[in-house]
Amino acid sequence: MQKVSALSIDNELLKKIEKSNGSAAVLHSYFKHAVNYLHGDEMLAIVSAPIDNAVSTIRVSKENFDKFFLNPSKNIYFTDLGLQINEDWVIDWEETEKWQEEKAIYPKDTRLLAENISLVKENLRKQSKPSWAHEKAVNKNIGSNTFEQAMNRLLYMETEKMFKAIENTPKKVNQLNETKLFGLGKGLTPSGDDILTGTCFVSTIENFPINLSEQQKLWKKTAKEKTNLISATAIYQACHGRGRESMHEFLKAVLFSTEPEVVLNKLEKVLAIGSSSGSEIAWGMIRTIESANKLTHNY
Amino acid sequence: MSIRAKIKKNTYLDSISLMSISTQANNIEHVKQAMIGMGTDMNKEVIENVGMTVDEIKKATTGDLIIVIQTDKEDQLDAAMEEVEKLFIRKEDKSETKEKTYNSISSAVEDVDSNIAVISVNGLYAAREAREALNNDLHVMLFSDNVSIEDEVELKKLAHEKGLLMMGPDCGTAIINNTGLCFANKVRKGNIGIVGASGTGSQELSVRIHDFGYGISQLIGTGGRDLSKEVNGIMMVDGIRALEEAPDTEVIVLISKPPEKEVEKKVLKEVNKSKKPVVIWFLGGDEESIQASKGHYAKGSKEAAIKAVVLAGADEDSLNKHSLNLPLIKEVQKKLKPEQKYIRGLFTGGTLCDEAMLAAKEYYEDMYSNISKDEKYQLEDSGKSFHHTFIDFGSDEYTDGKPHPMIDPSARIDRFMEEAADPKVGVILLDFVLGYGSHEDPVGAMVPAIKEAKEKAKAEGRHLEIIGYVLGTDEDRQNLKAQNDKLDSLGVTLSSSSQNLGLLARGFVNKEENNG
Repeated sequence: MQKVSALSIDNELLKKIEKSNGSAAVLHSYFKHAVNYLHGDEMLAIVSAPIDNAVSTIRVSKENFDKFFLNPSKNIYFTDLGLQINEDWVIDWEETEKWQEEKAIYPKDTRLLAENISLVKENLRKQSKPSWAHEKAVNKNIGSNTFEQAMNRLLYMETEKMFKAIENTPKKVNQLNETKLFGLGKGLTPSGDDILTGTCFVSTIENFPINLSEQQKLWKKTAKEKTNLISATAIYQACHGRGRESMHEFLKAVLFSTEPEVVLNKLEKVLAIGSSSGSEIAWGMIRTIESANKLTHNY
Repeated sequence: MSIRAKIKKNTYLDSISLMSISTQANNIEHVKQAMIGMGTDMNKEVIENVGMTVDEIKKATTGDLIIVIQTDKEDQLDAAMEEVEKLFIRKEDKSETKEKTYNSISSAVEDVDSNIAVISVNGLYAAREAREALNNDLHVMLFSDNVSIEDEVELKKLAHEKGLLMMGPDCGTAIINNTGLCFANKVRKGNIGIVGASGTGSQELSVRIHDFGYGISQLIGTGGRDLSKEVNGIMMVDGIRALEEAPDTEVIVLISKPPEKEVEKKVLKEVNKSKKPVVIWFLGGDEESIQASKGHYAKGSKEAAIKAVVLAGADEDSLNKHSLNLPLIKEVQKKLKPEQKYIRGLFTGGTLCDEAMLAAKEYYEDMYSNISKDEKYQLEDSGKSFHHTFIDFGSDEYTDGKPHPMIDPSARIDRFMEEAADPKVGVILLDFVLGYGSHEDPVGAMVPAIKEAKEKAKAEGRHLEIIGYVLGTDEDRQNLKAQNDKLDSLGVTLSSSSQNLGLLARGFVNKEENNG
C-alpha cells in the first residue's frame, strides 16, 4: 500500500476522524483539485496542494487529481493507518500540520473599517467583480444572452435588497426570510449562495453588531432545500463561522490591518476561489461588514 | 424559436469548467443562447422568466445539471445539442490522456530524459517548483504569475550560476529547438533567435518573420519584469549569451516593453560585445543609444522583423511588406459620422495593444488605457472607456481567477457589445491570437457578437467599422485562412499586423488626414 502525505488537515476534522475508526465515507463528487466525500450527513474534502486550508478538509501532496489515485474510489475508510482509498492508497497525517481556524472578533474601535471597506469595494469595482454586482447591472444588460442578463439583474436586485434588510433588522426580517438568493446563478456553487456564504461567515463572529442568528437557523434549512449539497454545506459551515483559510485571513485584514497592501493581498487570495465564487464571497463579506459599520460609529 | 433541454443527473463540474463549457455552447452554430447550470429552483425560475422552459427542466433537482439551448428552427436542435454534448465528452477525454504523472519534479527527473521543465502551478507554489527544477539541472519555463519579485531574482541568480535558462515568471511564449511552449505559434525553423520580455510581442515578431519566409532558431522568453530595476535583465543578458553561442542562430532580435534605463544600458553593453547582428525592438526605446551599441534599432515589430530577415539574408525589395490600403481609409472616413470620432481597442495581447496604441498615439494625444505607463493617460476605471481607449484584457485585473482571454473570450465579448453600442465610437480593434495554447476558434467565439453589433448599428443608421488582426501562421492548428475568412465574411477589415491596426484606426477616424 502506498502512502500519500497529507500537507495539512483541519484539526476539527481530525478529532472526528479519530472517533470514527473503521467507518466509511462515500464519494460525492470529484474535480481537478478536490474530491468530496459524505461521512454521514457531513461532507469532507480532500484537496490538492495548491488549494488553501478549509473546514473539514485534508490537503495532500498532489498538484491535482486529474489521475486521482488511479480512480476515484466510491468508498474510503478511516483506519489506524490513516484514510484508506481503494486498497492501494492511504493518506497519512501522522506528521502533518494541524490547521486550526482562528476566528476574528469584531473590533471595539472601528475607525479602520470605513477605510478598508472602501478600499476593497473600490478594488472590486475597478475589477468589475462580481460582474453583476455594480450599479450598471440594472441599467445595462450584463451578460451575453437574455438568460444571463435576467440572472444578473436578479442577482443584483436580490443582493441589494438583502443588504438593505440586514441594515434594518429586525424590522425587515421578512425580506431576509424570503430572499431569492439561494441557488441563484451560474457555477457549481451558484452566485447567490456564495454571497450568503460571505454574509453568514462574517455575521457569526464575536461582538458582531447585527444579530442574524435566528436568520441563520432558517437559512441552514433553506439551503438544504434550495441548492446543491456542496453549496448548502458551505453556507452551513459559514453559519458556524467556518470557512477557508483565505476567508479568515481576509476578514482579519479588513478588521484590523492598517496596510492597504495587506488587505488587497488577502482579498486576492479570496478572489482565487473557483471561477467567480471568490469575488461573490468577498462581496458578501465586505457588504455585510459595511452594513454593520453603518450601525456603529463608536469612535 | 425552438428550445430543447437536457438534464444530467447528479452531475457536478467545477465552476471554471462549467463557465468554459457555457461560453463555448453559446458560440455553437445556430445556438441563439445556451444556459448550463445547476437545477436549483431559482435557476429554473429565471429560465422560465426568459421563456426558455420546457417540461424536462421541471424535473431537475438541485444536484442535477441543466442544459438548455435555443435555436431559430426546430431542425437545428439535434445538431446543436449534439455539439453541446461533445463539449462534455472533450472535457472527459482530456482527463483520459496517456500522459504520465509524477508526484514531484525530482521523481519525474529520475524517469524522463528531459532538460526543461514547464511550470504552470498556482503562483504561491511556483517559485518552490522552479527552484526544485533548477536544482535538478533543468532549464525552466515558468508560466505562472503572482510570483514575488524577490523570488524571481533569486531564481534567476540560481539559474545564472548553474548555466540554465530561467524563463519567467509570467512567461507566455517560448520556442526551444522547434518546440513551441505555452502560447507560441507554429513557425518554421530558421536562423533568427529571439529573446523576448513580452509574450505576445515575441509571438508577433516570430509570426512576421515566418510571414516573410524566414524562421526561428530559438525563442527565449524572459518574463515581463526581467528588464526592471530589481531583476536587472539577468535573463535577457543570459539569453543573448546563449544565442551568441548557438550555432543555429545567425541574427538575434531583442524585444521588450519600455525597459528601466540602467538595465537598458546593461543589455546594450552586452549587445556591443556580440559578434552577431542584434536587432532591438524596445517599445519607446532610445534610438541613439541602441545605435551606439551597434544594435539595429526597430521602432515596431514589423520593422524589427524586416531588419532581422534582411540581416539573415533576405532581399528587402522582394518582401511583401503589406503596405496600408489608402483608398480604404478614405472610403471608411466617408462612412463614419462626424460624432463617431473615437477608437476602442479591445486586445487579448498586451504588446499588441501597446503597439497599436503607440501607432495611433502619433495622431492623438487622448489615448487612454489600463496599461498606459503615463499616469495621465491611465483609465480611471478600466470598466469604462474614455475618449480613445485601448484595453488589454490579459492584464491582471481581468485574469485573476479567470483563464486568459486568449483561452476564454467572454469578458472581451461583453465589453465589445458595450463599445459597439456607443454612438461616439467609429472604430473597434480586435486581435485574435492563434497558437498552441490559445482558444481553438478565437474568431468563431466573437462571430455572434460582431454580427449582432453590426446589425444594431445598421438599424440605428450608423456604420460600425471593425478591424481585426489574426496573429498566427498558416501552420497554426486553428487555420489562419479560415479565421481570416470568417472575419472577412462579416465585413470586418483585416489588418496584417498589430502596428497596422493602429495605423488604420487612426486614419479611419481622422477626417483631416489625406494620406492615411
